[in-house]
Amino acid sequence: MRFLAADQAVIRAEAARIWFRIPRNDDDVVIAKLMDDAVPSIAVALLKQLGRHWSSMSNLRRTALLDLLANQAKSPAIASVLFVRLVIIDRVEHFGENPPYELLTSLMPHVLQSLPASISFIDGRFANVVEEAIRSGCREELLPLLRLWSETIVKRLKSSQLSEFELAIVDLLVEALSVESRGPIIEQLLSVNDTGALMVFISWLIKYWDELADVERSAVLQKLLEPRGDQRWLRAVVLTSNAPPPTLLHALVGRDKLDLTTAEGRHLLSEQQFDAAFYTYIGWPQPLWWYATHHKGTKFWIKAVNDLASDPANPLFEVALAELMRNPGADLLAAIQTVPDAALNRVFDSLAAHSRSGKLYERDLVSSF
Amino acid sequence: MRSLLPLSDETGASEAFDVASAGLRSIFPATRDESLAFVTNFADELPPELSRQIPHWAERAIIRLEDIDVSHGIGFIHKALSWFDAEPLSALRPYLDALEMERRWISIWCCPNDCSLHCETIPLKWASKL
Repeated sequence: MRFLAADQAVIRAEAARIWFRIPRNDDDVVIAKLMDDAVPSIAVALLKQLGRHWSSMSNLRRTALLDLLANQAKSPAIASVLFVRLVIIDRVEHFGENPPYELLTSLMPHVLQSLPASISFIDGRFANVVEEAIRSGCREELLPLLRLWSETIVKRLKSSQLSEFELAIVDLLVEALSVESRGPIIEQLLSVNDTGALMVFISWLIKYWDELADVERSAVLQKLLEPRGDQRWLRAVVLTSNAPPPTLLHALVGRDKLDLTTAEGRHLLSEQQFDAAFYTYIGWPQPLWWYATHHKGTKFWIKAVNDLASDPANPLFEVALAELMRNPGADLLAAIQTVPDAALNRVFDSLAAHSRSGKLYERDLVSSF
Repeated sequence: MRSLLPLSDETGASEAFDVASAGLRSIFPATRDESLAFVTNFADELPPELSRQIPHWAERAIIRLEDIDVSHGIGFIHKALSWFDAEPLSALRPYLDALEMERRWISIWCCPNDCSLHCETIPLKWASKL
């Protein structure tokens, strides 16, 4: 107890670490003392001890220590140090072969509630650890975490642009939760106004289309039919997806498949809609790449890029050419060979501009003619 | 204390936060603890540029026992978490010597709670007169 009253947190943390190394009972005084001693060293020491000795602890003990850490996590400083450690709970070198994901499911909701906005999910660790938890068998116990994640997304979207990793929640919702549990969360996500975020959510919902309930499918369709200024961007995600659900496609363009030529596609879609889908497919300009909704491998858009790259009359000519230059090969050569002589100077300008950015050596390409 | 100190030109917040921010780089563990406690207690009042630093500050306050060395009866962090802004030990020696000589007014001058807050920032010329 004397060490737990030391001025230096490093000493108190070491005392706590030693204290909790041994299974104990009836130490309410110690737990009560640490409950309000919210300093990073102690929180980290307790988390490590919980991780190491989880399997040998009684449920009573686990609950007591989880409550202790949850209380400490009200401090943004503690929340941040716990967050960066909880997101690597799946790492063998930190938490062993069978990490106790209960730490993640129990603590992370408290952590997310007071997590400073400067802690980013951008490195993908957070989404990854939730995915690992699901792989290990966690399901409905992830509900508080996923609900808080959704709230965090909504809150952060008001002040910043989020990336693919920060928005990668939908697939985890579908995999972990029942329709009843995830329903309000998906509804909340679809109610945001951020175009990019909606594109990501709809993209994932389409991917898991077969596993969605009718009510969820209907919510996606309603969102796509909403008279919004960014409607073409939301629909672009459907038009460029690997396997657009026939129901959606039919509602949007009156067809079940996009088995069309490029010219037919341009005729079917409005110019604005075609261009939005084209840009979404190639992931340019930013933030379209940032959202990872690009290059879904649909035949129609692959062909459209090739066709437009050999059609100097189309305003998307240079953009399509640049897209082929990203991976110069037979398609680029074929497109250039089709370009009329009068437009070859534009091809040269594009090649020169692209090579200046260090992505292509036109000399290699020219030599292959 | 916050309201008694003028506002910082750089951050627009009380200079108390500048002092605490410097304290988070201290080689004295308790100074880091107190500084972190201060900035997190008033986290709601921090301007965004300082608030963004909380995770970084929190990591700075995590110190292992092995990182602590004791000289002249005073514990200090010998492995600074951030080597590039650590004070060299030679610069601290006069203060440690002074502390050992029970010239307690240094720490009283630094912090009424005697937590050695910011002791290392006292100009060397002052210490040499002790």
